[in-house]
Amino acid sequence: MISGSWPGEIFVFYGQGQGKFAPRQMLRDAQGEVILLNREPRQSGNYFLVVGSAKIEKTKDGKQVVLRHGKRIEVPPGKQVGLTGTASTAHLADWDGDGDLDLLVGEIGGSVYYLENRGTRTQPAFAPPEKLKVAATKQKENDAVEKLKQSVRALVFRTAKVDETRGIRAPGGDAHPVAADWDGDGRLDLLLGCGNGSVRLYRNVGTRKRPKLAAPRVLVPPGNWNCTEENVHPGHRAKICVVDWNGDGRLDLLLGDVVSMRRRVQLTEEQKKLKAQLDQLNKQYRTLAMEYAKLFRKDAQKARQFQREKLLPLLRQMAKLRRQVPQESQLTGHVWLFVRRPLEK
Amino acid sequence: MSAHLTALWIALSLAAPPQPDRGELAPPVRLQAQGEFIQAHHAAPFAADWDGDGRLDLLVGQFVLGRLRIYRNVGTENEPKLAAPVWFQTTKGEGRVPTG
Repeated sequence: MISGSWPGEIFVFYGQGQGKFAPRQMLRDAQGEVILLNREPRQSGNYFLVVGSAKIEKTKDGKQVVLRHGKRIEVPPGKQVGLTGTASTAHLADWDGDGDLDLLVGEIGGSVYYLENRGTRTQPAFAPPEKLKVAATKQKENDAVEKLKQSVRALVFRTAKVDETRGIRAPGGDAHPVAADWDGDGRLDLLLGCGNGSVRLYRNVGTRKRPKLAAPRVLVPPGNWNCTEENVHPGHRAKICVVDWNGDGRLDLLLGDVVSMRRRVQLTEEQKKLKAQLDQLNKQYRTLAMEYAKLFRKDAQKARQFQREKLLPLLRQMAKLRRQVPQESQLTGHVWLFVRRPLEK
Repeated sequence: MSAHLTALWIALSLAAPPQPDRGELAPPVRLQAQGEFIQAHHAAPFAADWDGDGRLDLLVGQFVLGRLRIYRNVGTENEPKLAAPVWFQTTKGEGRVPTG
């Protein structure tokens, strides 16, 4: 069994037969390196950001280093190190039709990568990641109406024009790729769960061994983040599974999501007082957080002290109050079944 | 006035994002197990014949603590019915993935 993770590594639980599984292992590529997208640290303002399962240590001379997969990453002087993740998703499929399982990986930015298995089914050797793209077609490139539509769309919705011939981009990020023969033509297509809750279909218009993806078609529209107990609907960050759930011979779609569920809460007088206190602290927090951000741009050292002395105690106080006041909204998620309608005769 | 409205209509028509193919998929249904809706923070479903009885079972991953629930199918191949979940176990305790 395979899984992505928030830090970004891909984890495998090897089956041992009779329903037993070994503890997780990080999946490695043909060179023996842990598979991790966007592995190079990047700088953002005063931050030095590192993805993956890592920890920060201080050296004897006061410098900071990041330890990841047994390697040291030096933090540039004056920078604040931050550990972050790529929210990887993983799917195994024989993408190039050579009989072994290749790897498709999605990430938080919305891109999808293909890692070809150049080994065998039992001894995989994954090649470096390669971005999956929509195949450029001459017809589309010269399609003036399509270009005009894209420009107007960008203007009206204030969104950047997305050219997926340079790389697939899930709207709202959080790409979850799944390969399946959706149209039943014997070639694997790509279905993509997206951060905005939509599901897109990229039909394979190439061959079984050399897939070429057509421009996407929306199978499921974007979801809504907010819902109530009376009106529940699909939400965001669609995680999908393509399977013949009802055994009718056609592939269906399972979709997992996340929503902010509002519920009616009757507060006691005591809880109302605590809630008022919590609202007050929330306001204070917003003011202090802005001060912290300003200070951080000037002096990271002082900002850290400010964080320790002012922000963290306030956050602890807020967390304590939250435990005593029933919350009106709660993050949760559901599993939705979209059954494929039967083909018309 | 009408010229403005026409221009607005043209702009909105051109800007309309791709529409989903509503004919292909039936309206969604929320899955349940033992009469309760399945709930998981950032639910991630996967269907497979987990126990080898020829019926699809349901696995649902979640963000909180990187845990995985397994719902056995106690119904039929055509009408799955899900039992109460159990947490995924490895030979060395519960199987989880890091969530930061």
